[in-house]
Amino acid sequence: MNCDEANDLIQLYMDNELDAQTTLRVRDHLDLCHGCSGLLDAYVRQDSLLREEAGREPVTSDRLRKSVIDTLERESARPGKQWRSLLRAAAVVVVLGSVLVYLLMPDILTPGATVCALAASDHAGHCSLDARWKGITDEQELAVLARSYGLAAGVPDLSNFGFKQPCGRLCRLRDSNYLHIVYYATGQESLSLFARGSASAAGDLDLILREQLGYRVVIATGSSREMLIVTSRDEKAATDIARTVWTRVATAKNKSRVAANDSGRGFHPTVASNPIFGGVALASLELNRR
Amino acid sequence: PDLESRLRKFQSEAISHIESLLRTAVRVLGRSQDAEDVVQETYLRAWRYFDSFETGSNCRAWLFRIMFNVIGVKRKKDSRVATAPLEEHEEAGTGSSNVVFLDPLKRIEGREVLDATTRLSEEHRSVLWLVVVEELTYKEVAEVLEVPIGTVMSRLHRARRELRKRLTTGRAGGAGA
Repeated sequence: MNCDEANDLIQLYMDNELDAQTTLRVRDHLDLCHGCSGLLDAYVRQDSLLREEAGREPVTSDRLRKSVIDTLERESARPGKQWRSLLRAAAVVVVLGSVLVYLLMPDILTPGATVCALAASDHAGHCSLDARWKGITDEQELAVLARSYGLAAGVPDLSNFGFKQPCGRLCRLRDSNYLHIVYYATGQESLSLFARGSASAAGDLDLILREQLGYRVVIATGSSREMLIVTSRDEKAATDIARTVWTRVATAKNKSRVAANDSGRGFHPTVASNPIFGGVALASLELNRR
Repeated sequence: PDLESRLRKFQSEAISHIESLLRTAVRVLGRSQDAEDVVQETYLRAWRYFDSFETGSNCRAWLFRIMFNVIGVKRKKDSRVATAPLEEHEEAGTGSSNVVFLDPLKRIEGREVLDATTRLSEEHRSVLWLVVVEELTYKEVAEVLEVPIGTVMSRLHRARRELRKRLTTGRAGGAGA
């Protein structure tokens, strides 16, 4: 083992994260190399100083401890009140559900628009329940997923519109799996991009703009892919973003294999289902959080 | 009675880690009020999901995972929450007896090491703190932060290297108190 290899492994060695054979090899090198053993000693002392000093740092937790316990006791006390809260929540859910059915009815009867309405509902749901549902934020993982869902050039960069920190999940809209990427922005609502490869979406770009649940939804089809952009920005901004995304995803020749969405053979096994009344289910989940 | 025993069990298993959580939150977020809010929210969520926690498994790591999830949500909603290096908000202490030679020609006090961590990015600071101070394994840290274990290794490697570099460069030889 040379010093370069040892330097790469020294921290793993000191944290006992190496297998037995590699540990022995590192130890043998340290026995012979003054420089590397000195580096190990420096890291060990640095860690030790940090640990000791952190342990001496005063952290006042008594007040917080009492506050947490009081809160938990209030949370778990008085079952009668809990039942009343549940009933109130149930009543609100029924009302919301009725409103949603009323709003969605025209769209339910028109197949194309239903995907649009579900996308808007999913956008609203994912934004508010982000803390609970795990998403993929790792750049490499997300890029691989994006290429499988018609985004040949990977995850589109929307930072010039103020949208960053893309977080991806798989979602099901009607009968197809889509990659749903949520982009976050400081000071404004987030934006959703739904994407899938679609053999039936041939030809040049076709853009349709709709309004759903107070959001602008742009449906872009063509070149064997389908995308929906859901945003609270105005019509012009929504269309500009959609065109920009389309241009960026088409930068690489579209070599992406069409994801076999219709047959259900998606990229990852975990898919959040979004039935017709997905908006209602999500709303009830939100109410029951508190 | 079931609720009472659940609460007692939660208090005995989870509340005991409140100082670890608070200390870590303060170091990661840099503001005591933010840290307390995060810890409070962490325990609320932990209480709600306590049924899903397997008794006997690592409760502290489980709580840390919830807490970093809370921090992630707070970061997205509040642009004030720092992700970059924190500003120094405490002066280096004097008269610390925790003095060790990190380099033959230099003299580093424990307080300086702690303060130097505020100049690391939040990503590096979090991993360093969880491994070195809270003594979680790489695998546990990967689960807490929801990143691959390779990411934990590379962040920790860079954090320690950067910390050492900050502590040992730009200092006159033999500088002391």
